[in-house]
Amino acid sequence: MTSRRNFLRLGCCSLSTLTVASQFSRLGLVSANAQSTGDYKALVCIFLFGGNDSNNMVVPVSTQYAQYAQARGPLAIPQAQLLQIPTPGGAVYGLHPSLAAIHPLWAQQKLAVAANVGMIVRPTTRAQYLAGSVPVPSNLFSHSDQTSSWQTAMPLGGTTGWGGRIADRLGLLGVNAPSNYPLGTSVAGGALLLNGVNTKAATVIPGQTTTGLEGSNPENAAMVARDKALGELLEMDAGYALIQAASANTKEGIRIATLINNVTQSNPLQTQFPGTGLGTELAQIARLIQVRNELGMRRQIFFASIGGFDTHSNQLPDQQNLYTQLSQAMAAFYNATVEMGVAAQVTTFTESEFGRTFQPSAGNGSDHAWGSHHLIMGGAVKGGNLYGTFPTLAIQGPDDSGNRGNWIPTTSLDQYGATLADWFGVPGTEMSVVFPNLANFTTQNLGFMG
Amino acid sequence: MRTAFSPFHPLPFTMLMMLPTAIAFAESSAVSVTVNPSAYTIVAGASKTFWASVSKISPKTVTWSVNGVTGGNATVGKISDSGQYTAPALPPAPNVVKIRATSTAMPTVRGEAVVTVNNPVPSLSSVTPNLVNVGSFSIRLSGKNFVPGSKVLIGDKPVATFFVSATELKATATETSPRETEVAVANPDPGGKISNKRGFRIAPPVTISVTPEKVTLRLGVTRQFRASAGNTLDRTVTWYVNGIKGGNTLYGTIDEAGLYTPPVMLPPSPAALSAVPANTSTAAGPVVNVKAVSNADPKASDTAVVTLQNAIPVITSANPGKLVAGSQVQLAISGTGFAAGAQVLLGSTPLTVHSLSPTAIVASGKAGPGFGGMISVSLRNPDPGAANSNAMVLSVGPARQVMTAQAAARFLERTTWGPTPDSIQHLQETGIPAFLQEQFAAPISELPEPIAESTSIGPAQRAFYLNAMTGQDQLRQRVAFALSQILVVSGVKTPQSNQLVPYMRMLSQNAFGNYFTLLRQVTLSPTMGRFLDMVNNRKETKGVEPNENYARELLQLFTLGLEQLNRDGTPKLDPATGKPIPTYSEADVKQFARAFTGWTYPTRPGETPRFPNPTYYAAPMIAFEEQHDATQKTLLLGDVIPPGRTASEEVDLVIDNLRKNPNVAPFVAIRLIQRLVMGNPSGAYISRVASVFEATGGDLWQTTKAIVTDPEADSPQAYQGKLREPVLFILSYLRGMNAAVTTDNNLNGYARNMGEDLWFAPSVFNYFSPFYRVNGQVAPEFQISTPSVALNRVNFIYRASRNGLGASVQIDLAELERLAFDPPSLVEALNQALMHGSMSAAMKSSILTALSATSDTRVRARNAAYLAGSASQFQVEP
Repeated sequence: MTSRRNFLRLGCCSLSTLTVASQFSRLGLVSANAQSTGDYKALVCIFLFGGNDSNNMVVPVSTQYAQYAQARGPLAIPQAQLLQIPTPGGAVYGLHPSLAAIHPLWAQQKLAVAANVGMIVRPTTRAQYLAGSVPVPSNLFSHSDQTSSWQTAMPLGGTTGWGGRIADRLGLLGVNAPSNYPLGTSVAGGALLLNGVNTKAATVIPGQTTTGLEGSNPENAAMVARDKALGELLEMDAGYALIQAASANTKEGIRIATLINNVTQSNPLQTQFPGTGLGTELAQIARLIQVRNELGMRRQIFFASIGGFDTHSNQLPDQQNLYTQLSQAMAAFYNATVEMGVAAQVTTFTESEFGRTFQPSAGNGSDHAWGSHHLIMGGAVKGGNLYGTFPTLAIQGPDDSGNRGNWIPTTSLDQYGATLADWFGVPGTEMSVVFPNLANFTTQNLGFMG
Repeated sequence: MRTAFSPFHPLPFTMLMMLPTAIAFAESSAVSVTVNPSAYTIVAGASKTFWASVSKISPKTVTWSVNGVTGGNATVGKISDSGQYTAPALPPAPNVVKIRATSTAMPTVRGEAVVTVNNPVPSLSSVTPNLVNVGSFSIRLSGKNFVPGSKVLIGDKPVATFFVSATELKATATETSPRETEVAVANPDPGGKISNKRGFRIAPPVTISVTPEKVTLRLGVTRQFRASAGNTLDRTVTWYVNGIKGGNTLYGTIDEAGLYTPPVMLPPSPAALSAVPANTSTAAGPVVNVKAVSNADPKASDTAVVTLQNAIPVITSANPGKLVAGSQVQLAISGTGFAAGAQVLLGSTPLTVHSLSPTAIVASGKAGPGFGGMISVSLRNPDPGAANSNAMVLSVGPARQVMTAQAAARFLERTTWGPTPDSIQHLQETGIPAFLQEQFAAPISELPEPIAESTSIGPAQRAFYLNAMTGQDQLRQRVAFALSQILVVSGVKTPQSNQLVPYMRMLSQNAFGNYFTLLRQVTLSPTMGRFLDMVNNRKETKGVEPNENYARELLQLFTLGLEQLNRDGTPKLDPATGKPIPTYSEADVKQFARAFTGWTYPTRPGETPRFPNPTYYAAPMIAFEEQHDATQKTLLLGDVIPPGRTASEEVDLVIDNLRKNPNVAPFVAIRLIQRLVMGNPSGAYISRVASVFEATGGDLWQTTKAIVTDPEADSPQAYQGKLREPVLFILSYLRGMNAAVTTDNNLNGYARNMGEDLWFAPSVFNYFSPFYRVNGQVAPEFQISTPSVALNRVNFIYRASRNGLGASVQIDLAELERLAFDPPSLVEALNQALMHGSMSAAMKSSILTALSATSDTRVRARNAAYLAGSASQFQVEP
């Protein structure tokens, strides 16, 4: 804490507005702001790394359960254990029993499902896929490629994320001006989702107590001189790309730590988060949302993640554990947004590189597939409903890209993301930059956002 | 002479003398002589003129006598012809005399006056001294009118008085009670009077107080003592050291003003402890006494106790200035304050001292490799007052060199966990071919034996870091670590030591073996089997398909990648579409998955084999043919596995199929080059390495040699190598700083904070992608180096540079502090140790400016080590 002034010197930008804000904070003058429901919106992506077998996350109850049980065999969840989620149209589905923590949000209409979402370039049928007559994403079924696809919305490969492109466009519109804090924040390491052309996300290591430059001490001449020299060294790149990149990272790390150190003084939230990795990450996001006004934020996109979904084997106990962690962390996060009075301004959604084969694999698991179901949570969500088209659960059926129940997505990531982006305030004119293939789909807003 | 003219007084005699005729003319009537005044009192020695009136006689002259003696004499006083009487020096006895004037003309006619002669009134102007101490003393009094009988009065009490003159008396007395009083002088009768009084103090005995009373003093440092005297006007003292006036060279000297100069060497202990207070300990050093004696009263004195300690030694030169590492050297050291028993250090190593005087030492010993080509010479004086000297910085280099230190350090960057002073010296002496042979033959560093399934991986991780710091098989470790990032298993799914340790051992053992041999072992490793689900994988059963996981990642991540490659690593393009050509299809994955069926854990000792076996990781997996899919499979390149082959045969056939695939050579070449040398190798470099891989059938030793000795590796464009990945970053910094690491280190906690938790990659895709780009350049390590991680990296250096990583990780800060006596040497040493001499002048200047903010060598050492390690020019392999 003693070293803030030094951080400021190392940082490149004027922080006067933030400094003033943080002083207000210490005087307790921002409580009114904190309660305000001013112009603020946040998107929170929870990436389920490994490829979530959503065949078991959202299970048909009223229509296709028999097909489900038959094809899934050892992986099938008994119908009685499913947490029922009726839809306005009458069809009833069931959530995995370990999603109990968020199940009540369905009835409160704060939780929705988008069915069979995935990377497709344009609407694609089984026949078209098998014939190779339409372009499909590169290297389907490869973790690395599809993880990128879901974050870039560029199924043939890209280096910027759709969240980063939103940050680029909204940045040009000055949405968070004059704040120097980035629009995107990852609490789960580097996140391609948030990489823009012009913008780079902040990264925050969740729960890490030391976020500053250790040893800085404005009272100590030797340490002040040390920091000054470090600042000079970080400017000496002599044109080398890797030196530039490393120095830019270090400077940005110091800068972001300074900004956050200067404002994260608020009273801790009452909401208790689970001590899991995702719980810690979402708690960190909640703390950042809590100081949104001091950071000068009107729009934010956050990236969190939970790994372990590559359930090639041992899926039933593994999924039980994973969904428990997921739902408990999500429920706590929703409660925190309620506590902060921003439930209707924060929308949480899941991503995952692919779904998994409907047909099980040896070892009680499933293999890499394609489309999968996703969860959207928040006060602005038109919850209690399932959006998109639930796939026909038939091996080699109309939605199977192969012969193991690899569902061809019936909704594209572009549609899913654009629905979120539209709510977030991305102008229609910018949408084609953010989602280059959106124009290939008739429905450009799935309607799950209010 | 009185010359007043007054009608009431007779005319002066001299005027009368001018009228003799007129006076004589009146004689005939009433004849008489009258003396005027007729009675007079005079003090001894004073004069008075008497007048004689002669009536009716002529001439009117008279003759004067005193007590009948014409003209008087010395006893009764003298009188001149003109009547001026001068009283005697002492009143006569009796003290009344008659002065008679007898007419010259008529001697029977005469007049008389009666004169009383008294003593004068004394007057006292000063008493010296006016302050005396109780006891016997003498004083001198100045004044006037003292007479031989004068008595000095002290407080009205007469004391023995010696008349010196009318203006000076001496007196002696003995007084016992201090007091303020007065001195006066009383003259005796006749006319005895008492003089005025002068203040006089009878004080207690003289006191002397020396400050400081007690002092610890290093040789070579003088100390001013002060003596304050009480109850005396003479405040001067005489100084003694151990009873010797002015001291001597053995115990130190003291001048008249009290400035004490210690001896050159400590005096023998115990040092003439004649007057050491009983409670003074000599443990802190020999003691000498500094005594001040009052010049006013030699009985009055005070003693200060000086505890002497060895000097802070100062080295002003050390020769020779250039040493040969590993050889016996003899150093001649000059300076001041060298104490008997001083320890001489070369670097951190004590030397044997052959001769020692306070200003010169000769010492010898074996020179170490130094730090960055520098080594310090310093010494430490022993107790009492043990103290380190400054340090002189010497240069040190190998006895013979077949390559420069900078070239050696660059080579060590890619063949070890980072150059150390020892390894640079060694490689300079041996050269690359001999060094590589040593590395090939070095014994394998071991990991601790896992005891049971529950054994934590912590001890093995700590052993990994310790091995990396100290193990001889550096290149094997680097290659094994590289392989662990290609043939990935992760503790995320297989966290136990009995899972990870056998796997990592397998990689070490095969690091210089054949890639395809290793691939077979990897395929049958129960750890990999569990990680990628080949264990208990079986042929299609009741709609459950063979598990695709291992098959897919074997193809994508272990051998081929997604795209067909040219020898130089560039993708082959479909001539028709211009697009890359996939290496395999989904259908291929399913074929390979079927080949990898039938395997389960090895059988635990003493148990009956079954499918599936319970978990066990101490041996390769075993096959159950009835679980194996023995139907025909089509592999890549058109190879077919005919029906009826066993599980083990099919593994061999799959490996053989991959061995034939031309993608493997560039695929493995790129990844090994990336892990060992650089992220962005040229096609020519890849091609050269891939050719060796292919020509040797996947020989990893030959491939490794090709990688590390390639011209492109030897002279990469500056800073085009790679960001040091966290494990390497930590280790290369600590090795460069010559750190000592023990088995209980927690270095992996820091690697985890930087995004690289050893053996716990997030997935089979490793910590980062071989394709990740930053600023347009392939640089995989940047994928995990987020801004917050970058801050953690700098903060790690902060802790390491001040030995804040715990007792288990200690850099040799003491040597850095010694080098910090000469900041340019310190910075240059860091430049050589961490950046093999590539530090720019601007960097050095910035660091030196920072160091100039303090003279504290410890802070300088820490800040220099911090800045050098934090700089991107170290973080990115220079």
